[in-house]
Amino acid sequence: MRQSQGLSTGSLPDANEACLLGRIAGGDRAAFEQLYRSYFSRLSRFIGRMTRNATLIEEIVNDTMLVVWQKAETFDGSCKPSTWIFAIAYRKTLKGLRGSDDPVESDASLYEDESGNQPEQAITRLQLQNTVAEALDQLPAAQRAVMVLTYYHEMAYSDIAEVVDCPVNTVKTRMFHARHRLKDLLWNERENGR
Amino acid sequence: MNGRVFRLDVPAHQAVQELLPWYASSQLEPDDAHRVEVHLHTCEQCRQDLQWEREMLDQGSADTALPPGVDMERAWARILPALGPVDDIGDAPARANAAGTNAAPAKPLADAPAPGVPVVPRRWWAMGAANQPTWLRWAVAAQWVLIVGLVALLARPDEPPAAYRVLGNSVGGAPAGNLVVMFQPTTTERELRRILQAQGARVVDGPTVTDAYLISVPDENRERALQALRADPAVKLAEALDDGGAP
Repeated sequence: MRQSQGLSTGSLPDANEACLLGRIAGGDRAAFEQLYRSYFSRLSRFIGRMTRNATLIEEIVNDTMLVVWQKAETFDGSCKPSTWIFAIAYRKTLKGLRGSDDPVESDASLYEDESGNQPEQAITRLQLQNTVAEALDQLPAAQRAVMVLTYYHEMAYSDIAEVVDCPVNTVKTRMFHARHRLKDLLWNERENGR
Repeated sequence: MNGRVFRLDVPAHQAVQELLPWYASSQLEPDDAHRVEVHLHTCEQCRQDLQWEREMLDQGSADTALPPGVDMERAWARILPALGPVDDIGDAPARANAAGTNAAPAKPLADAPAPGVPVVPRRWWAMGAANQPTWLRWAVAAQWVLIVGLVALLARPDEPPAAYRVLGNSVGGAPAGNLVVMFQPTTTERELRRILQAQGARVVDGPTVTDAYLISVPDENRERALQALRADPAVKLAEALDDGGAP
């Protein structure tokens, strides 16, 4: 029942990724490039939900992947490769947020698709995406991370607990409160939009 | 009856509420999933919430675009220098092999970036990386130079040791003593000097702990000097030494 389906675009099976990490530990640049390209999009989107600064996003992705390059031999297979890599990305993101003077601001317009003539359903989804993106920005970073990993990366709560390094019950509680907060924010957005 | 059942299920309802997002994304363990399914049969609110969760997941999974302004090729070009020297001589850094499973065997290569890749200054934190071959190679080379230097220092022949002369032992070209003399304890330095000068003798060594002097006289005068010394009242003892022999 549990799958890594949510690690979406370009993701490789866990066994392949573990194999790549083994090769990377041996200094195999080709394996590293394969993993880098496979993870760039999801890491960028994850980090992009935490900070909207494009330069910072690329920098944090690279910081994360450089740790993967340097520490691949420390991956012991006790968790999924994706969990291990996202945990590094989460720590780097928090560090980046602390080091950045830019506040995480609501800027959902950055995610707007400017192409016209969308089917109505797609437009509705796009509006929802923008509204959710704005609402997400108003959540505390810890709740936002859990929510992004759940909705955008479809991670299991046990994996999220490893990524954000907290007990599984804390993940459930954070998600529960974040959903309530998000519902309120979305309701307010819709009311204001009328 | 429904109200009574609902009240009994409050903890279950709360637990299911917490699990709904992951039930919607099929990320629950079978036990948890079963618990949610059972509860969903009886709880309208959870069914509605599940629908909301699915909408959230739909909009999330549809969001596959890179954040604006983010460029993978640019980021890749930036990270490359931090990885150290490329493996493939004269080729773009390992990119040609990206899809393949057979990586070229690692070969040492010059540090120059491959053509077509922007030169990005290496960051300080990347320079300190344990697998950063650039400084590592120099560090190992320096270590070897140090080791060879120290070994050479150890193996270097010592300066000829200072001649250590013992009584009755001639070393090198130093004047060898051929007589041992002991003077009476009351003999003055002036008298001692007179006695030795009279025989053309030179002190080679001494006084020893027994107040003996090793003196050297020309070989042809040795017997005569020996007799003269023995005859002198100030001399307590005078003995000849065989050449190179012990006294």
